[in-house]
Amino acid sequence: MSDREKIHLEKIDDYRWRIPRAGKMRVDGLIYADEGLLREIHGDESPQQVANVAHLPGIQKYSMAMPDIHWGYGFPIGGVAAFDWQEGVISPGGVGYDINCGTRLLATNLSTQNLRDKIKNLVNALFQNIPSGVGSKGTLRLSAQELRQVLKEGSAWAVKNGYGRPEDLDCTEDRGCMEGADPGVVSERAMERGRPQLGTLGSGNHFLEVGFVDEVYNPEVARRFGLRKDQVTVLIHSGSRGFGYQVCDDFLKKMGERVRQLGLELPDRQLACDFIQSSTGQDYFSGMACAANYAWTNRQMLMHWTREVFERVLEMGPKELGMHLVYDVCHNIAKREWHVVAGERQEVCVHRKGATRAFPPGHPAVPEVYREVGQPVLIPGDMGRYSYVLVGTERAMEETFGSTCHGAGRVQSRTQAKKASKGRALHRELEDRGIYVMAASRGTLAEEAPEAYKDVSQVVEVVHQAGISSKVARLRPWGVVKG
Amino acid sequence: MKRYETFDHTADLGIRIFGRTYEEVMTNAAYALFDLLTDLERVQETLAYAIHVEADEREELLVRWLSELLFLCASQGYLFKRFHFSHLDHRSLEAVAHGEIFRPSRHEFKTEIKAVTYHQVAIRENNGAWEARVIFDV
Repeated sequence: MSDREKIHLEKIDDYRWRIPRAGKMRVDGLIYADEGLLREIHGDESPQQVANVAHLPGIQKYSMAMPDIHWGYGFPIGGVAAFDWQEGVISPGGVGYDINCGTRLLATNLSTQNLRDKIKNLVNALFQNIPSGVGSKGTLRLSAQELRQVLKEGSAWAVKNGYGRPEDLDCTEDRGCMEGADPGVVSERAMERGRPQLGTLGSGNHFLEVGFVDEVYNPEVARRFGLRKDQVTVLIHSGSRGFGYQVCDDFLKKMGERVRQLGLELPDRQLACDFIQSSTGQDYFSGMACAANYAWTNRQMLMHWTREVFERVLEMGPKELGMHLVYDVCHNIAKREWHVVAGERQEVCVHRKGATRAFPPGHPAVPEVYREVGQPVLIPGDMGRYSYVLVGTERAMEETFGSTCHGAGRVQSRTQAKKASKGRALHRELEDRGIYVMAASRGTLAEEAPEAYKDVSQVVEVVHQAGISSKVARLRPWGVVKG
Repeated sequence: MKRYETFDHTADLGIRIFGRTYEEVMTNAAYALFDLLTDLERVQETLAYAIHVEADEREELLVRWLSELLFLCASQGYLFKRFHFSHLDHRSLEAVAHGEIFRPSRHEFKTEIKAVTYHQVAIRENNGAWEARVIFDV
């Protein structure tokens, strides 16, 4: 039903491509990619979506896309856009349904040899003890009052209630609590969906992965992050579950109405937005903050149970195991931040939809322990290849509002992936590569087959070469729990 | 006549819905949603649920209708397989949905649908054949 024109891209250098401002675009578009990735990107409509975002009021500098960009709804996935805090807009579609979907990395004191004959037992126990799968419900029964506390306090609520250690908060983006959360703006529906799902992994691309450090690129920074070669790690990828989906849905509806009232001309109705300073804009920000806090609490709980399972299965104490939180970072969010725009400090609302914050050394938002080297950036790959740990840079601050890529990015749709893996024993194939997988459904496993994704190494190489973050270490999956 | 088909959308799931009338296309859209979520052969019609939805125009009505059904499924586990409209125009609908509540011993979710998006939503009529398109975030 759509007749799409191919967007014209101008090469700036080997890793940067400009979409020149045209029609009602307010700024240029800027895509980070190499020639190879660009060919894949050009195969879908995502460059058009980058151009569409450039139409929104108050956008600053560029409408940007990271190399893992792919076609989303409204904003592309892998999109970064900042809007003036006073004059600009905020858009639920620029954050996504899974508000504060993100990853956290734990570092153990174990080496691979300590785990070699126990990995299967460990993964089985993790699978049994951590609720996962479509519509999974947790073991927790929260009252509405308790849920409101979660929404206001985030990870601190979890720690206060026995899930984790106080020092975990130091190594969580925003200390696991976004300011401005107001449960009063959240619908009954979101509360209803959110209550039974706190403490669940979910399904789709969410996972819990036991892995190990397979390569260290920057020993000095790796040491600061507490990472060394051959060390066993745990990576958790999950978000705000049905709570966040409902918050997004509720506000898309409200903002759709506001767009009509305001007479804003938008190229796609999924770009629905309102001015940040309007009451709907403020309410969305407060509701989104609630969902962000829900997600941080969720990952904090998943991590706590992971530590418990390790202790039980390996019969080791917390001191011996280590399992310190390296960092927790979100990749679907809109943040109130200060950046330099045209030589002036300016307060903006940075939308990162499938993009990760990558703050440089010395930034006050970087945890004290890492401040000298910069913020850890966690980039999950597909379950068959690698994940990466990067560090934020000054260049990211200058160019991308302190942002970088978030993962591999899909190349095959879920249906294509399912078709391609029909009749194949994916479990077995992965096991032959030394990766043991437990999945709640066979369908999910097929949809998440490694070849459904871009090679994350290629994506990471682009952001590294472009200088908007820098490689620290590479992780290899070993045992995976999929929803 | 085929009730619906899926089409590829990199990260999400698109569906194209067919019908001879506007009512049929709205019915088939609801059917498609639950057919993708679960095995409808295992769903019995043990209860009926009344639904009322309003919107400014028909594309939005389609998204809101499906969102309402998805919410009932996600929050309370309703699985519906048959739909009857007592009223339907381009801005509002009154429907009764028939089905049962999810039981883990009997049913299984095939996929998770997070939301019904407004992205490229469309409904149109061509020589007496109706077709709609909607994209789910999965």
